[in-house]
Amino acid sequence: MASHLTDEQLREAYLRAVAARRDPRRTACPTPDALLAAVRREGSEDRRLLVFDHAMGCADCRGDLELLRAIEASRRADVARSVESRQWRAPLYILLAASVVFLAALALWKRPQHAAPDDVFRGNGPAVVAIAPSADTTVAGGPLTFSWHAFPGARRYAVEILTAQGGVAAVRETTDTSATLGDLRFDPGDYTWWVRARLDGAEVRSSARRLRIGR
Amino acid sequence: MAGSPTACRSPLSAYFRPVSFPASDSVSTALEAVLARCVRMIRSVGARHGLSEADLDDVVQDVRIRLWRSCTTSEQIERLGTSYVYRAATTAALDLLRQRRARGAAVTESVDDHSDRIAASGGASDEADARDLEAQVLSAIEALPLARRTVVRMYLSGYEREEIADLLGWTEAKTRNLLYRGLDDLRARLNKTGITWPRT
Repeated sequence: MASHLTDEQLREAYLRAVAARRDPRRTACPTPDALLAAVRREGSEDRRLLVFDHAMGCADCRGDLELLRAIEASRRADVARSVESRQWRAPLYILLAASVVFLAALALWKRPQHAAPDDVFRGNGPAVVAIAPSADTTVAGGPLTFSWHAFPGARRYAVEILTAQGGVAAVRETTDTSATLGDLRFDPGDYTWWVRARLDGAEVRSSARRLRIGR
Repeated sequence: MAGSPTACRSPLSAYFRPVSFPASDSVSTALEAVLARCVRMIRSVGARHGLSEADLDDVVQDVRIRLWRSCTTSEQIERLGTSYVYRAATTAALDLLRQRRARGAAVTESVDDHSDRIAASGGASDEADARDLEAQVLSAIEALPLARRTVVRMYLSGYEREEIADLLGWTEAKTRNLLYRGLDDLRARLNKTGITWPRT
């Protein structure tokens, strides 16, 4: 009998015990629908706990659960990404409209004067300065980290990765000056990325950088 | 999410569409593109916990056929969006699991089958001790209260705290609390049988 046991040995003993006590008839196993309901957090907590408790102690059910869990977790991640993208796009239209009005008004007001050097204009004024990845870089398909210089007055930043066709592949908002997209995987290919700085009533972005994602 | 499955044929008419692969190049390309996005995500989510590639392949093939039957053009497939694909994948997975159980085969490849690795780490003379240890561990776990027991089982099965919290719909703090109490409880029960832990 082992008198000393590390956590890893405990885990191995547990997994081995679970693997050893399989029931081919699976008479005590929850149905696939019950597994799916648990994964989707449907039903009472006690019921879900019982289902998970069984599945984690039954090698067959755990395999079934993992298949359903992987699909459901992927679906939820996809929905979250879609919502995030929409949440950013909706105020963007408002911001764009507001910035057009603002710029028009500013142009009229400042017509006889020279623009102050720190005014923020999209395209002409100071821009967010991207740092990494540098332009035309080829990176591996692993977690991607983007960084840029802080922009005065910026409340939030959004790093956007666009496909070669101009579609939004990913958007990540942050208050920081870097963002790591560790949870996303991109198809190998050509992309463009930029950073938008959201200020009070305006926004400014970096120049677009090309990025190639390899295999 | 762009588009909806209503762009395609109704399920009934789709059912009667004969399958005669290969589909046209443009349909195949669109179909594989929308499938690839979802499969890559599912594989990355399930990889850490030994998601069965064979099961996933079966599901993907089923979804591929469902999509091909219900959509006749690449534009229809592109309009579907990934949400439809995930729904189809869930249905296909449920069908696969139900059929497997109906057959009574129960041939799911175990995600926990570490027996080779474990056997390699110990000698044959230790086998009886190993069996005793396994029995004690299971017995001690089964004596835990349900919530702690479930969390401990998940932890020992290789799930991270964040994953456990996500699966159970709990906060990270509640999950951590129950996990630590459960592990302490488990160690205490095993200590009573003479099993101790190295001090950390």
